[in-house]
Amino acid sequence: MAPPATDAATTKQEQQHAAGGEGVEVGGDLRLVAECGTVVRLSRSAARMSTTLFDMIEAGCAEGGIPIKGADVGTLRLVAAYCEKHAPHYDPVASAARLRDPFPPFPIEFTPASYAVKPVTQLDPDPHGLEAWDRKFISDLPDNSALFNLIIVANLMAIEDLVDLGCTAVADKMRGKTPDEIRVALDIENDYTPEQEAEVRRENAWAFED
Amino acid sequence: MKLRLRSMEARGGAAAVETHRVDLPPTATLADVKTLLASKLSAAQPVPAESVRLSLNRSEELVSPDPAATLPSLGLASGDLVFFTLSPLTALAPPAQALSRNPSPGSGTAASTAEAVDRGKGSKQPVTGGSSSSSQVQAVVVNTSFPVASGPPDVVMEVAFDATKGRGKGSKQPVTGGSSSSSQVQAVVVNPSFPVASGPQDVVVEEAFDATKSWSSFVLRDLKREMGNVGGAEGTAAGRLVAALHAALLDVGFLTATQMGSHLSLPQGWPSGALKPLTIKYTIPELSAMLPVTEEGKVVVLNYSLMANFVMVYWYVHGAQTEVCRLCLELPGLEPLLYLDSDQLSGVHEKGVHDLWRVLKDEICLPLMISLCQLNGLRLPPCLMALPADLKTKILEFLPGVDLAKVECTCMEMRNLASDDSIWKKFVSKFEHYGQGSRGVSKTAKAIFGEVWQANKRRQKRPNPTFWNYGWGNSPYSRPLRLPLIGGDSDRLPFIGNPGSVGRHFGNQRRNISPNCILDGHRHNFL
Repeated sequence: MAPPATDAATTKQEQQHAAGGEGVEVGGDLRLVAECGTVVRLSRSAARMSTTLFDMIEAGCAEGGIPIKGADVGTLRLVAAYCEKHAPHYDPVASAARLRDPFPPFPIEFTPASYAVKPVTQLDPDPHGLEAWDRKFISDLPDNSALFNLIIVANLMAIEDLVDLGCTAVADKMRGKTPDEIRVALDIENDYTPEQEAEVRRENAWAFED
Repeated sequence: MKLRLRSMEARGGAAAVETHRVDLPPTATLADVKTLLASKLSAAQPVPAESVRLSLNRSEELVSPDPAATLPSLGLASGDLVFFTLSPLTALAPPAQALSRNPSPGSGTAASTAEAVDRGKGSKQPVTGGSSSSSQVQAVVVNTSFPVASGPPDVVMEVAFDATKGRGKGSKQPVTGGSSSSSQVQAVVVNPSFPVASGPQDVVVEEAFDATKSWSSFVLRDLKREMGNVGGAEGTAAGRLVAALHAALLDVGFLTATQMGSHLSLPQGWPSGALKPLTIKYTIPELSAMLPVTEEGKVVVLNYSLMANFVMVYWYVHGAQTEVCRLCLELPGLEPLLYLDSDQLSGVHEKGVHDLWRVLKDEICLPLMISLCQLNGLRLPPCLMALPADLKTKILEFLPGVDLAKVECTCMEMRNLASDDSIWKKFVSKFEHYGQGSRGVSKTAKAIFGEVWQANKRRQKRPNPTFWNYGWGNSPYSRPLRLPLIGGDSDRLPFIGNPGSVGRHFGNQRRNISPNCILDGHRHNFL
């Protein structure tokens, strides 16, 4: 992400120059600057969830304000809240290896067959309450534009888990609907000519057999 | 610590703007800064220290309720850039305590409502201590009431609304309206005398919970303000509904087209006496310059008409080919939500308001904004089509096969994205060998999926012939694998009339065995 890095670098230089070479806080909170200028604070451990910010911390250019181009304050706060919540339990290796395998893309819950030997205590599927929190987080978003803003900003900051969460939420909006309903729900414009539409329907007729 | 003080008045090149660099001890307070600045500015004419206003984001003033609060406690660190001006800024909030002492109607109650809501929420958290303001601007010491309204919220919100609202495009003016969270309103509310949170970790967890809450409280406050503006306490339900929709439109980024701005003025006594529908036009700031010339395709028209218990809203883009859409809102169900003057906001009401907001925004405002932007070639507001292609592909990867096919029928771009075979490969990985089998033609993964799906459906639909199905190898339990098999021994071993090969079959069309030809039960190997 070249632009934020260079901007942060120049800001840092400016700050250092202004402060006369005095060191700004090391190991303190990061300051993310939204488009309108408001600053959102993010602790370092939470910033590690974002690959971009992590690289910036490693490279040492995370001092001063980090401008996030294209993010408005509400979305930044939501992202910050997500990062703070997930930061203590974040495992970069597990996250990187998790869903990126092609098959299957959705988590499979196996309930063992009745005759299988089960442990006496079942493993808690949600040990830290994170999944419930995530579901509530997504369902509390006011409207679609907030969701898409969230996905865009999370993509910008390279937080894969949040991008996955957002994309799953959008896919859930598509699931189980006819094409017309999908168009209405997600504001997709129908740019097929009638012939093209008929052709596509024929191609995918097997999906409409119910 | 060193601070840079820059004048807010002039924009443009930094060289043209005076920047004073001051070095202050860490125990300095805001008053010290102001006096210092006043003395510096007093070269030309005497400047009283009180008229100097400091700000950090050039739109809200930096105030500290505790005059002895040191600068670091306000969140100012060494090297910070602080703007100053001599003209009065929109003043910022007195802290929560002051608000609870003078509850002013409307806005004050809104604040205390939000405060009450968050206090209630905050108490549920296992982590006690200060809540969520730490993500706010320069608030190191935090406050329990997260979305505290500013003292005169009307003034501030007026400022907020009159400016261009960011809608994901970013705002262009330095004094911005912020997004739907209107977060700048409560940018610096500091209360140093409040007990500090037990630790940064705890504060952070608290804030994590409240971030989404705060957004919804802002939604609430926007709605209340609009509705209060329109009718006062006696406004009719329909009028307040119009105001609610107006608030939603403003939030997305529209402005009224008749008199440019955000103010909504309903004709007096509209719902009661008038028979003709009320028409309001909206446009977006980028197009407002072209407005006097032509209204085609630049203006969104909303018609409200009242019939019995329903408010029908019709909307369309003026002059464009889009059809007229309508929404029918039932008033009696919405009435308790529209009159939200009470301090208590119960869970049901809150949910109702959020649902109403969601409906208004997702059904009306966003589609309108999208169609307007598409017609005029502007950048789209945040919606599915505005995402980059790799994100759209990622979303499609989460869909099961049937839904993927249905999404293909929605639009050409989706079709292009979904016809990428890699999405389908994950479903048909088991049948990789199929394509290279007897036919010798490799099929796309999607085609394979389609056929298998169809076959499964057909099999499920076919009635289970239990009566004439018992013979050699015909019982349900000896049925071989239904799916088309290539290789193996299925073409060498005697065909035991397995129902899969009887009749039409996908791949192995080498033999057509009619069921009547199983000669007296013996197995024959037909070549």
